[in-house]
Amino acid sequence: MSRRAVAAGGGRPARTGEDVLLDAFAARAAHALGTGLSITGGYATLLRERFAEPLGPDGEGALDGLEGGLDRLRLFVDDLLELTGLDAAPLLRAPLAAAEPARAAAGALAGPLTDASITVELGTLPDLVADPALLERLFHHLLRGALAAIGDGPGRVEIAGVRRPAGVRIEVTDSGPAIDAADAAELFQPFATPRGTGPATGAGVSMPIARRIAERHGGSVWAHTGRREGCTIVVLLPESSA
Amino acid sequence: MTRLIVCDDAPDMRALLRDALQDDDDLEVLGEAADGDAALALAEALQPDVVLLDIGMPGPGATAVVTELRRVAPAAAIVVLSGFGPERLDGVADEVAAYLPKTTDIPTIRRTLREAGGPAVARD
Repeated sequence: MSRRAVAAGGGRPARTGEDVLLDAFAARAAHALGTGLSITGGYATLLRERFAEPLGPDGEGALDGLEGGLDRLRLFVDDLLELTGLDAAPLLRAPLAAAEPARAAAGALAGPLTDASITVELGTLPDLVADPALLERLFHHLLRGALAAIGDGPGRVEIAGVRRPAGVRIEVTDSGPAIDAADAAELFQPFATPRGTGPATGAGVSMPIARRIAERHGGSVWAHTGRREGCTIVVLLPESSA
Repeated sequence: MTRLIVCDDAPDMRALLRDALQDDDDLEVLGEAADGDAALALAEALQPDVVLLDIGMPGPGATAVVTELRRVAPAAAIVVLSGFGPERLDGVADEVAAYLPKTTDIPTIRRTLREAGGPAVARD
């Protein structure tokens, strides 16, 4: 099978002009949307607390729908906030088993993964030195990308890794639609179109966030293309970052 | 009972918080402020248990407001509720009892305020 790798981030400056622009937009949008979302969600809560009886089952159902929509918006805003804060916190370096943050990320997404009938297979992952919280967020966003790509499911995600001379290489392979070289080149860039539009898509910045986390560790991330189906995202974290 | 002030520049956000927090028998809203200077004056005058603080208000920046709050209302716990990320608290994050994104739901805001307000702990 022909496979072509499209790199994103390796050897590039940590912050491009587009990154800076995206951060500025994200900060402003998160603030404005967060306030509106807060007010809407807050009054939805008060409606449920104070008027559950007169609302009745139909009213409760309508509120469920409203809150489902608000949950999507919360994910959107929280993504933007995470993006704007990525470079602010100091980078911690701790020895850890990569399986731990991978397992934690999959556990935190158990609800949407189960809803979409997506199984996550955790293969062998090496030990490495990295920021534990950021590595969990890296896995979180790679899984979110897979969730969005697979959509309603069913589907499958495989996480595996190996130590290479260049560093620890982690692969996250999903059974979503294949991706061509042109799309793969854009996937990790600010304002890129995400691979899917499901509830897990959020602000559609999971892949740019994954790239930024890899780059903070001195690493890079890319997508394999040329496959008939599915997609593999590869993260390389150099040992020198340890 | 946790006595608090609500500081946010958005009037509809303050209205929501006032409305939602009054449903909690353990919380009492003493007053509201719409900018940093008003927040400091109100905190100094009322000496609340908790300051619920937006860090994107007009006036002094987040760092300055938090630093000054420690001086004018040293016993007050500061709970930040903001549409900006916690990176804006650089240098004063340790002075804040809790940071909540503005997307936080009402029950969580109430619980965080109750926990921040008591039992009394040394905040020096």
